Amino acid sequence: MAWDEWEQLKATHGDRGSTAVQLDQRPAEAGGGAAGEAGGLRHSAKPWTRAAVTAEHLGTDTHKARGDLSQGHAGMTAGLTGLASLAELRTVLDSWEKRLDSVRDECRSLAPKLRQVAADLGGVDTATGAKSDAVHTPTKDESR
Amino acid sequence: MTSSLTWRQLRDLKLTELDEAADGWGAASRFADAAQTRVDGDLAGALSKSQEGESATAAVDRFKRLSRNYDYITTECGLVRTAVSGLSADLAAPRSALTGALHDAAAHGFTVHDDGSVTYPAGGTNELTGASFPGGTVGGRVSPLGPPVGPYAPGGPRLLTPGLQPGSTQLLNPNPHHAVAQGVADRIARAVREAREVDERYRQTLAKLRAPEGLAVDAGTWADAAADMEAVRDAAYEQVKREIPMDATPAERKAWWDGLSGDRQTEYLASYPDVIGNLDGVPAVVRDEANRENLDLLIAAYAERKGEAEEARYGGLREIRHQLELNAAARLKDPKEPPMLLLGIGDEGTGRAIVAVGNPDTSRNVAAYVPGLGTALDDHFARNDVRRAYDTAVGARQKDESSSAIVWLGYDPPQLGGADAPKLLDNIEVMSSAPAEKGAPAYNSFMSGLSATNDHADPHLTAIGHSYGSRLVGAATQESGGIPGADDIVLVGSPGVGVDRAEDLGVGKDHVFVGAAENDPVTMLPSKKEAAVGALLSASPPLAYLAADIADQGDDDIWFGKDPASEAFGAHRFAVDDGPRPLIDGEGPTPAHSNYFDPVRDRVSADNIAAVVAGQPELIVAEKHR
Repeated sequence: MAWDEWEQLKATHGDRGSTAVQLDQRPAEAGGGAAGEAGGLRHSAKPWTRAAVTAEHLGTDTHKARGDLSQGHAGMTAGLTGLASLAELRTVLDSWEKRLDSVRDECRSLAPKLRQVAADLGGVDTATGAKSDAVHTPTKDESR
Repeated sequence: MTSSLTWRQLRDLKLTELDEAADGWGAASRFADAAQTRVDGDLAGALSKSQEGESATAAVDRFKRLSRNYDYITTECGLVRTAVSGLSADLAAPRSALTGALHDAAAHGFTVHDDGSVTYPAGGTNELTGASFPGGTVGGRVSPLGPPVGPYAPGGPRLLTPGLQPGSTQLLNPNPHHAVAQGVADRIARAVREAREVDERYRQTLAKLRAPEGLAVDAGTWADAAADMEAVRDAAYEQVKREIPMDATPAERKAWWDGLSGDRQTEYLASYPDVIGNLDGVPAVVRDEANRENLDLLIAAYAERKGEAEEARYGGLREIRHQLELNAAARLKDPKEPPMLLLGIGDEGTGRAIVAVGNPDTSRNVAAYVPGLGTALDDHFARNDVRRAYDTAVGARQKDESSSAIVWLGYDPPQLGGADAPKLLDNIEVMSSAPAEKGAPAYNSFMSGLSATNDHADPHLTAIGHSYGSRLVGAATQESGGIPGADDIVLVGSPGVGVDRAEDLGVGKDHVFVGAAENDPVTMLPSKKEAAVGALLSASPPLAYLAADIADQGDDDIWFGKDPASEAFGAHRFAVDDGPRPLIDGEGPTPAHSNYFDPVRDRVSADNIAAVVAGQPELIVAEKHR
């Protein structure tokens, strides 16, 4: 993780440094369109659309991460015969593959739900008095 | 032990495959870490609008659960990484020992059998007959001169040399190959046994790291994660030492951390939050990040524990998290509010907590305050002692914005009673220098770390000791080299520091500042010569106070040596409020002992401390010596 991501991480934990500045920005790795979105935040639907995009990306990325994890164990059997811990590691791997699949499925299922919220809010121009609290930040408790 | 690894299997292990697997877990942990950042980034903006209907609320809840999942995956995959890389590294030593033994066997023309026994050829010369002594076979032993044990114990089909069974005098075998073969067989047996132990240890540990099904991440999940971390730490204790420079100096650790790739930093943070978080020399924001993770794990672990001390600890941990949340909220309202960083957290002894107000790495002025008598990691500490650091930081920042103040609970202060008192022999320990001397090296390591990670070439560091904490500061000055980097020392409410002259504290007597309230009995504890009077203190505070007052007349010695407020000690004494009188004023036995940092109850004292911390001693309001 690059250092600026570190800073991002700090910011999302909401406690120091440039928190207030960072929180209303989209993390750089979440894909393009960060510039010019600051103004968009005034629209109540926009953040939901953005969250939907994040969920879609994370669905894809989680799937890839799961594949990479499996791939990292691909050559393991032949060269590690006889290790009791290896059999256990396989069981552990299976369980986490399943968990990552569940997370991936959740991302995929969540994306349309988030889009629906955006749609329910009536698109980009029906900011229902959300101007003042558009960048309200949840407490740490809420964000974990 | 269920591992049945054979020597052939040990020989043929491709440990690089385990290393690759470990890297895979590290990558998964890093991915989840970054994913959580993305989710939380969106939570901050979009999901604050959960008031906008049921579907929005449901979506927010699921998005939060997603964040918790990524957090959990970060931690657990980090633990698997540690376990797998530890397994690989721990197998390397026995494998290397085996390889060496097999090499020697080959060099001598021995045959190593499946069960690890070794056959040697005929050798030597029988001087009577001129013939060679016959060859034979020996089984390996895991302890010298012991019988073959474990997997190679007698009972199986083996070809031991007649007359050389276990218990016989094998050393007398005249064939010179025999002793060599026995050595080889022993080394093989020991290598296999060690590898099996490693294998079994990690098998058991890995079994704890299976992911539960579904998406739930709740308090129970985190309690399990805390237990998982402990299990991995136990199994992979050698690996921690391989990966983290525990024995290095703080400056060396700083260089080590800076030299790590970003990937490695993230992995270590996920794998060892408890180690990295408390490692002097690691940058403050990194420690803070690690400790917040560790704080959550500790809270989860303590939620179920019973007992007075355990519940006190739980309350303290939770209150620290609450204080961090309050600080985050305050900072959103007011950008000038100094950030709070958790530089240390742990449950050893009476608890460990180091909280900074203001970033100590970016601040030019940094003060580290050592709390005293009766302090433990509990609710009271998390509110009041942290508040002292806060008040000091805010006061100093009014004079120099580049200031940070820290409360350092990195030792076991003597307890006067309450939840943690049973941990100590009895209250007499209050009067002992031992806890201070024991804690001093840790304080010096911490101070050295502050210098190492500070952005400024020569930061202005102040050591502050309150009450018994001043005795610890005194002890720290007497360690080799004194307190690293300390420019100024502040002693408040001190029962003496174990040193009789300010100039012996290592910073020059002009840099030692003392606050002692007239009505603070702790600053007037009788000297040890008057121990009979002192013994009254714990029994009956009002009596002791009066007695001490009388006994102290014309005497500048107090419990731990010369009174720091005395002329003979030679420090600058600064003005403080007299404070309420013990008991008479209705605020308990020692009210004046607790106000030195409080800008409301003792403005002049708090301002004076802030002036020292800010490096502006010219602003101090002086007081004449006692």
